[in-house]
Amino acid sequence: MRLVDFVVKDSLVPDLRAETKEEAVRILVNSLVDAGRVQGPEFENIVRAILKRETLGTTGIGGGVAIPHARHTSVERLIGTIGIVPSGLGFDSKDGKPVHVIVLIISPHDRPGDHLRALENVSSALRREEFVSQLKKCTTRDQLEQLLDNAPGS
Amino acid sequence: MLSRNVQVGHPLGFHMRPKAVFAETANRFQSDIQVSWEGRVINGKSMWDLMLVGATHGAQMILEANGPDAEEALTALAMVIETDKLPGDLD
Repeated sequence: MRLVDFVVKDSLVPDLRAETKEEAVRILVNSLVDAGRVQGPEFENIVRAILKRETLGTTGIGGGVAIPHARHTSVERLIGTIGIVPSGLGFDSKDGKPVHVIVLIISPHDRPGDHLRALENVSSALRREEFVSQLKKCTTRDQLEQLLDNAPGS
Repeated sequence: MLSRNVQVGHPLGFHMRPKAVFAETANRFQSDIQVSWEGRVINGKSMWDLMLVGATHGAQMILEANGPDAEEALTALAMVIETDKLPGDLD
């Protein structure tokens, strides 16, 4: 479950503009719908599941990064997308800082191992300051795709 | 230093919510807390570092605590790892 294994490249959002956590989540899930990886009728349920998960504890783990996620019956395999927020977004992060990189993950109910490995790999990648700094500089989907393809361990 | 072997009890493994509970719990104690898992030694007080511990249900870990309240810390933290249910679990 490396980043390249599950990130849906057609759904990457290099210039995410949102005022709230909810808005950002909606944009990212919608991007997965547009990429054909999430069924349209499931959109609201998935958004609700992700936001509900946030009420149990923020996924803004600090360092300008958030990993909102949920399990949902409508996905057969783990999928995700990445949003880059140039102006930063309040995410109730543990360190109080705004997030610039959001990695949204939707996993099937019956594959907890995949989910854990995805979180492990996402965290590992996002610990690399240089990688995060390069992510934040991406302004197009192509640039993001290239960066993901070439990232060490991705 | 005290240590305790624990086994991940939650059916979803040591996912993000137990990591958050673990880090919050660990930070209530004065003792230094470390988690050893698959050859990695992780600072148990850092959620950021705990994110690297992708331990599945049933995985073994070693908790270590070093300080005046080490015993209490290990007892509390072992419970966090070994519980099969967290507040907010739906099923």
